[in-house]
Amino acid sequence: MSNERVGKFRKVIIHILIIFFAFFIQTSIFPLIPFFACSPNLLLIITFSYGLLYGEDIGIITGLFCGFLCDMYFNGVFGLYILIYSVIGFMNGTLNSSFFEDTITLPMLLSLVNGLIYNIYIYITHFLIRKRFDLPFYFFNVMAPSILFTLIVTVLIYKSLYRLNLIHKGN
Amino acid sequence: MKNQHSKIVIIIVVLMSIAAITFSHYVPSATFLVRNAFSSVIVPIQKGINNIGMIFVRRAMNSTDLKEANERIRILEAQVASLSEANNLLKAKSYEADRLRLLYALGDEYDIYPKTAARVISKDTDEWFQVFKIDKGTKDGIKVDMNVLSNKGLCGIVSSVGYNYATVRSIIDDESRVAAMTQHSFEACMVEGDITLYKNNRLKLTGIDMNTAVVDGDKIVTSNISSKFLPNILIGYATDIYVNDNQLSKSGYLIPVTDFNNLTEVLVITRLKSDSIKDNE
Repeated sequence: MSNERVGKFRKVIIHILIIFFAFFIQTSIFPLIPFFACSPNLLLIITFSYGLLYGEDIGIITGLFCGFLCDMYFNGVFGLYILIYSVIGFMNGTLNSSFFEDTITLPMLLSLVNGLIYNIYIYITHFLIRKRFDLPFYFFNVMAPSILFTLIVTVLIYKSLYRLNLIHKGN
Repeated sequence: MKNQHSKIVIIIVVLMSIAAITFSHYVPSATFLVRNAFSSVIVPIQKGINNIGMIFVRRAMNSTDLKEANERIRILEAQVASLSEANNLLKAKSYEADRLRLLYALGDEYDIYPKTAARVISKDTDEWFQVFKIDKGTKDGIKVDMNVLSNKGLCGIVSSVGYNYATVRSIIDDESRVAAMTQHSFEACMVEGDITLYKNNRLKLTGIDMNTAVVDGDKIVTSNISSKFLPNILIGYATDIYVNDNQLSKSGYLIPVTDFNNLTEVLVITRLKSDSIKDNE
């Protein structure tokens, strides 16, 4: 019984460390690299991957945590990131029971959809409310590069998270 | 049953974050203390990671950039020659100006501002915003509204400050507005950041009076009528000036002197515009 609890505790710690690691890479490392015109959204990938791999509850909690980090770190209204990340975690969690775990197609598709939702959300909350209506421009110049980059990185990260999931299940 | 339970959880989370958004929208100062405490912990870690990351980035760059650097040296040497010639000319003019100023009993307005150097430690993760953090805060005497320069010219303004960090909104951010003027004729204009333009390395230049002779290539500096920016800091060069449809004013674009893609170190002017106004009173 206590052994099981230790295992569970270790899982939680590992997850939290992964999120922190992604957060630091995203805020401190990516901006240093000059040829990265845009950067992949690692926290988004982690949120929807956990939702997909572990279900709605973990999805919501992960989203909550990632959103909280962003909200704490960035200025502006508090709660915007918590809202979008936890909703994304939940939505992807609902797909948990109905997917074949071995394929990469679904995660890639979801990466596109989630990236789009996230970017449109940011556009609406920060730009549309200031009467910036040029959506096609924003789409091609800001959203599309970021979404595609995130998609590429999804392939790399999802595989590792999937393997971690298998190890945990093996335990 | 389990499904039902998560639905309730997500609804609670959504409602709570909407409440938080509403609350912090109306009471912006409420989150300051918590965020400050959070960043005080995060910033040192980021600084460390930054240092490690820099080592790798530099190493990768060093090997590929040697050829480029050699070429650059050649160009720069030519530039130094022409600049030192220009400098001599300017020095002569400056002596003359000093003499005339003395004659008119004008104070030296353009004295060199006290500055402190700071390192850029993180940028906003999204392409949507052009905001970054630097590794100096209230403990180094940084205050909100202090002007931030790159090694070439104006780069942004401190928008919020914590104990050991400060957030800088760069002039290319979509919400940035800087009161400016042309350097040689003091014609007022406004420099606006615009996300649709900065990809082409441009900012918007608006509010130029119809009857003024602003032409392409004019040096644009911060205006002395700005309430937040100290006067005479170089912002960039005017280009593609055109007459607005209403035939009442002109607009155009500005090419900034600062290279916003490779911003690693910045200078913060540790004097506020409001202080200068007080001094004069």
